[in-house]
Amino acid sequence: MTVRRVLLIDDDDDIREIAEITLTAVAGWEVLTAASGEEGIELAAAEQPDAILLDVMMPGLDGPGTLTRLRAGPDTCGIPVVLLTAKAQTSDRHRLNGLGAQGLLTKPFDPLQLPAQLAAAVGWEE
Amino acid sequence: MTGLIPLSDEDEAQVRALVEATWQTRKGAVLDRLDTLAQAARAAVDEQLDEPQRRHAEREAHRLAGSLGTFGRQRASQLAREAETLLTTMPAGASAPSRLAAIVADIRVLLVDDVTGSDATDGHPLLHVRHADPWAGTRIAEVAMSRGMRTRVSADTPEAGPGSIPRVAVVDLDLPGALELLRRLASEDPAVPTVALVGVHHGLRRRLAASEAGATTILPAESTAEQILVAVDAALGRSEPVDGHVVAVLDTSVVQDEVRGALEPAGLTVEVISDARELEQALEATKVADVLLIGSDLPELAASDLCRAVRSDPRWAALPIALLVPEVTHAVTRAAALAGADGVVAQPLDVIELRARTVGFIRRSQSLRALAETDRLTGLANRRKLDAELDRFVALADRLGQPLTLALIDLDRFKRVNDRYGHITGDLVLRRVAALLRDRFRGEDLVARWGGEELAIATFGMPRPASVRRITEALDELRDQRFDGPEGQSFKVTFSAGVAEYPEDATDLASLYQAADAALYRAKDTGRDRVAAAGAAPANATPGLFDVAIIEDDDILADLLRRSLDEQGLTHTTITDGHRAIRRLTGPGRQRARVVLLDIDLPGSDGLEVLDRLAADAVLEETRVIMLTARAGDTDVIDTLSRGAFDHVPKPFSVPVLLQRVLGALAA
Repeated sequence: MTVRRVLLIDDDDDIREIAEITLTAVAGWEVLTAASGEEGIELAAAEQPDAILLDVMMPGLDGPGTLTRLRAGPDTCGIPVVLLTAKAQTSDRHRLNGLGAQGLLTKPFDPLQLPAQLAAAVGWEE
Repeated sequence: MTGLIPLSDEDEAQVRALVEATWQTRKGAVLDRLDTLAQAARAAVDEQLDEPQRRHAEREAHRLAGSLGTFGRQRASQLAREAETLLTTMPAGASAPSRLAAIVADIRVLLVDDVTGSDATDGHPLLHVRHADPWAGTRIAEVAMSRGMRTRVSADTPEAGPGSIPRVAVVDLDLPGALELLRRLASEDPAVPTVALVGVHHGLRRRLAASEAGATTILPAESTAEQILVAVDAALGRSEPVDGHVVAVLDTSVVQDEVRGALEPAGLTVEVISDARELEQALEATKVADVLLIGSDLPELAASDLCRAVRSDPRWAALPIALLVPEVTHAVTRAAALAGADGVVAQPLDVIELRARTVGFIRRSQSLRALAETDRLTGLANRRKLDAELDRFVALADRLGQPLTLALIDLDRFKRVNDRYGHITGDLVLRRVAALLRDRFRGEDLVARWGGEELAIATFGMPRPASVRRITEALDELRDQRFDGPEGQSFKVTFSAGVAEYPEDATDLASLYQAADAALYRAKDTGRDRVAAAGAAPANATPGLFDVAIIEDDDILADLLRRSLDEQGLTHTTITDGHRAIRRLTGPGRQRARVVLLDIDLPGSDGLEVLDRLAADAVLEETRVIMLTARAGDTDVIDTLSRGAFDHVPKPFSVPVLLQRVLGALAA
């Protein structure tokens, strides 16, 4: 099984820690974390992860803003991004779908499900 | 295909333990975060909550909702979400700060008492969703999680082998290997119920194949997640012990014990009658007899004769009846069939056969009955069921000397909801009101859709005041709810109700309907949004609802208005400044008035600002504002009316003229 590298951008330490644990323990992936959009963009360009899991609601540069910049950056435009949002309303989904993310996962999530949901959203097949 | 090997139970337990350990290290920080919320709640109660603090608290509530849920603290997560919503709409009415404080306290209790570990795993059935479309799969999982199920989604059919077996599964037939998966789940012991999704393009052949592979339910692949979850619930229910009531006419105690021994372990209740003459009474008193068993060796009456007698009564025409016969011969089965029996069971009894037959009867008749007696839109009983139950209640009331009540409930100005927001929204409103009423009544009461926007509630053994109180509570709750139109418009809904009691207000069913209907019309005529009891004096105003709110800073004028309203027997309240008027008349927990007399010149916020706030909070849906304008200039008048006021009266005015305008507004 390929070892994937996933970058997680979320300002919430709890979510970062729990996602890191499960992505590492359940899927055996390598996990990078960033606590803000700016930090995440820098890390994405430098580390070229296989996928980015991006929180929608963050102070400062929020998820949609971060995504727009990732898509505009020559080094980051090809990295699949999955959004992580607390709001699962349909209207929100429509808006977020238009931003060019590969998928949308909702918080709270079942930690054990996270790797499978992320893989399904990105379309990773072995 | 996701490249993930399904976790074994052992691995899953290990990861969960890891999550749990993380939670323990995080708990202190989470409780600290809760302090931020508690401080905000205190500030809000003291009316000291400023915008930066509110935003900060809102953000913390949002984060708490996310991380608590992820750590498996679903209940605490839901509460945090509620706190977030409250903070988003703050300041909104007097009760919001105290509600917020209560929520924070509840979360703290949940977290401090949290010694048993995760509440996400125990007692929550596990659902597997195998769907070719990950988006659709995730959507189903979300709805399932919101209903308290644990879920696993994958776009894959796992190989047979170890891995936890779900309680129920949704399988998309577009997945390769789906039929094999269905077969495997059906062959588990106990069998795992499955909901198979078959695209229309697959046609009948594929449906048949799914059915042969053991799918419990087959739905079109285009079904919504909600529809699929209804089927999942039903499939779960079907794998559970059946809940039914069997009436058995048996005269020897040996057979009685045998029948009980066969049926009670299956979850059925058995009511044994040894004298056939008591049968009619027993059938009437039971809410629903699901199956009737008749023994062969009754003195005085042959089983087939008794069967014929029961069957010829239209009330029991559909009741499954089985005869216990000493021997199954052609003559016996023919006699049974001619008497209208649905089956015969040979004695000595074969426990397995009797149980299987009885349970089969019950499942079939329950699902048929549910279809025939349920209103499809609201899930409530339909009128046919209501009529049948009322007949039964009247017979019971006559015999037992207990009261029964009938309430008729009509949504206020429902046509306007349909016209403005469309029928889909209207249907949603009906469903919500139905659920609200259903929650307020006991299991043995009948809440039904009478037709259109009218609902009805029948109770037995509950006196009228108790029924009125429950409906009034439901109405109070409804008033606090907001509905969303298709374009995000917010609106409110109320209903009117009339309640009558038998035999107090009526001599038979027809006159009971009339009495309830007359009370309903009185509730409508006296201003809607209230519950009226038959025979009682016109319903008093609901607490917290005034006929008139006077918003006027001039004491002398306010006093004059109060006296003339008193003379008319109208209830009223006075507010002397604009800020206070906004606080008291808007938001959840607000005071309500049917007519507001609003001075345009007020300290605090002026009349136009108050009017705007009432309009923004959808208060004008139910309240008519008469603006008291100081100048009779056209601009003021046009301004006032264009912002949603019902009428305007220029100052100085004559009190009798104003009173006429008030009465006009109340009657409109």
